[in-house]
Amino acid sequence: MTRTIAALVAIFFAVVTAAAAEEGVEDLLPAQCAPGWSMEGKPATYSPQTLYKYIDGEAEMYMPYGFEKAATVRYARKGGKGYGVVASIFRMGSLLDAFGIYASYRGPGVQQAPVGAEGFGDESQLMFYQDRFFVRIEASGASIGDAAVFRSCAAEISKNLPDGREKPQELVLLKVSGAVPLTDRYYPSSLLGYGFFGRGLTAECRLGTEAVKIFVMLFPSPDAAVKALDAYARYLKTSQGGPEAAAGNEGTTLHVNDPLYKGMALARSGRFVVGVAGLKDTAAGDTLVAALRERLPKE
Amino acid sequence: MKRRAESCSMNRRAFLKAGMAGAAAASLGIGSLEGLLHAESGPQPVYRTLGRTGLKVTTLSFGAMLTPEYEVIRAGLDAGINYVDTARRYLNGRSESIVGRAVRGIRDKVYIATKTKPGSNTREAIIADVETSLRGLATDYIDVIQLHNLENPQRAFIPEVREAYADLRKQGKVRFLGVTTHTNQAEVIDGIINDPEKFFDTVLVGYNAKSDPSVKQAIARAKAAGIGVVAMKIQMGGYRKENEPLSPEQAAAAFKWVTRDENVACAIPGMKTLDQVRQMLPLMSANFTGKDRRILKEYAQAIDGYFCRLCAQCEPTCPNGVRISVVNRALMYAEGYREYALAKATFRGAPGARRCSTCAGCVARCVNGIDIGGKMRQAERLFA
Repeated sequence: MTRTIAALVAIFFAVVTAAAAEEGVEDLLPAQCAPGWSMEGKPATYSPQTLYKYIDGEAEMYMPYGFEKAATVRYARKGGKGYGVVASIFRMGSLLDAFGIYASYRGPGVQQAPVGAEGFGDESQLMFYQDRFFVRIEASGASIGDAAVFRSCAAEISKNLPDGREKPQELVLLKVSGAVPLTDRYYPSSLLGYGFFGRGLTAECRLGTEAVKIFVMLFPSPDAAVKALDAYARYLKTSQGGPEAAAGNEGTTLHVNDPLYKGMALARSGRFVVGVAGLKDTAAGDTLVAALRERLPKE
Repeated sequence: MKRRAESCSMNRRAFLKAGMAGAAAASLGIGSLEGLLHAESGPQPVYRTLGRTGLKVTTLSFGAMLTPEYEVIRAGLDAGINYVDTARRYLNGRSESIVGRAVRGIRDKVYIATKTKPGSNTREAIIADVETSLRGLATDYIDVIQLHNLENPQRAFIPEVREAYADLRKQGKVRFLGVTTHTNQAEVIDGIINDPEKFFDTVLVGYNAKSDPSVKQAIARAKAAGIGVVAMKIQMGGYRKENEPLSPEQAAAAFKWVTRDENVACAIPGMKTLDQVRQMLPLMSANFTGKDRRILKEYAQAIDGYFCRLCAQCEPTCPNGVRISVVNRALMYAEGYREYALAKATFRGAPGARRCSTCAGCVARCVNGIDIGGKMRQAERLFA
């Protein structure tokens, strides 16, 4: 009996979650974002074709993250003297995509906000992601906002989103000793600024006294990983940066002198490539490369 | 406060090295940054004067809005580019930090343009924005501060805004003042031109081969009035034709089309990868040719004829009730944004999409001339 009830509850929440994901993004904006703060007019909605009208050229950044639809509206209270709060919800392609766009705005030293899977905020804005939604709440009409209103607004929106406090599982791939918290990022293409690399994750990391960058490239297949490394090797050859070994060899840690990042150590494991960039001594990156390989799923 | 020596000699030498190598690398089909940086001769760099600011800026300048790695920007600067455009808003301020890191050690050789937030229209907000920008950029002055995203000239005439900008200039925190505009551009530019105080020195404007003639004319009037013109959105949105990415030739033709207009001081294409920097560098001294004209014409036609505006006016003309606009959106996700999973999911959710496979011939018609039958067949091939 207990199992049946649990199963029914699970099904109910699954249905509710799916419904929330499918309904119009504008319907996820609450009528009141905080006590006394009401919606001004109807929410404006934006598609991939029209997002630029809202955030201009910044819209280009959203597309590779599978942007589908956005809704935005301003909240104000009576007698608020022009001060308001603008809340925007962006439906992205996946949880990882929502994290990716969120993390692109998250700078060092942000004050974390306990909402969604992860959030941060200050006196003028609050951002968080939850499921495949990225939410941005900003002050409007004043240089300084009200953090309490932002928090309330975020909580109200969070209630309307599919339940989800979990972060993308891919982020565990960067959890190695020395990784600097809140510096993990996801790029849907051209990792490290190279067109031949695809999507992947990066984070800042301390290696002794050095500040380096760790990365994990996510390829669809081992062949694709080999091809990308071959392209990188050809590029390095023309740049006199090595490598000595065949680039795609499974398990071999390559030490190269990258023109952009200087010393780099990297290795392929199946469809993944892990590495460390910005090394003074490339051999010093071997332990980090090994640690990153340890984090990879066994496939 | 440090002040830049208005000399281009260092950049010119660097560019002389870079440009030729870039051209050589491109012709050999190789991509060597070392080659870019260490060849001994090359095409002449092209500098133009940014209106009454007097700044000599490279015609190829750097749109840093979406560049995630400072190393990529630095590679462009080391190769001779000397003007970088960013904004307080981009990446929530991270873009400015990335630019700040890229110019570390060469600040006096690079001009930095940034923008206050679009919603900052009070003295307090503007000053807070600039102070934050200075910290993010790790510099003690900004070369060009811009009022972001004007949709009409009125915001440029708010007394409080002008006082704040003027005070920042007096304090030496900003050197020159500008505005940016994406919509209603000719009216905004004319408003700045006709300002009796000549308050703003530059305009950043969307300008490309598909721009309305009124924009081109306004740009000419701006130049004549001593206002420096910086062009953005030069690649017409960077749309992709059929299943191919925007080619380097198309990007090159778009850049050359814009910079052949000498009323434009510089263009700021967004460059996110080293490949893009490498492809663009040799174009500074390249001429707009008949071939470029043909490429651009074909490109513009491709955009007109291929990209569905998702108006759905065609859907009543399909006897099988296929949601053609949804199928076309799926194609756009696949071909334009390269998001195949999303594309497939969208196709699966398009009512009637699979009925196309059982239909003998497509009778649906598009008011904009798109070959609907062809696009439905393409969707079948990709997703079914």
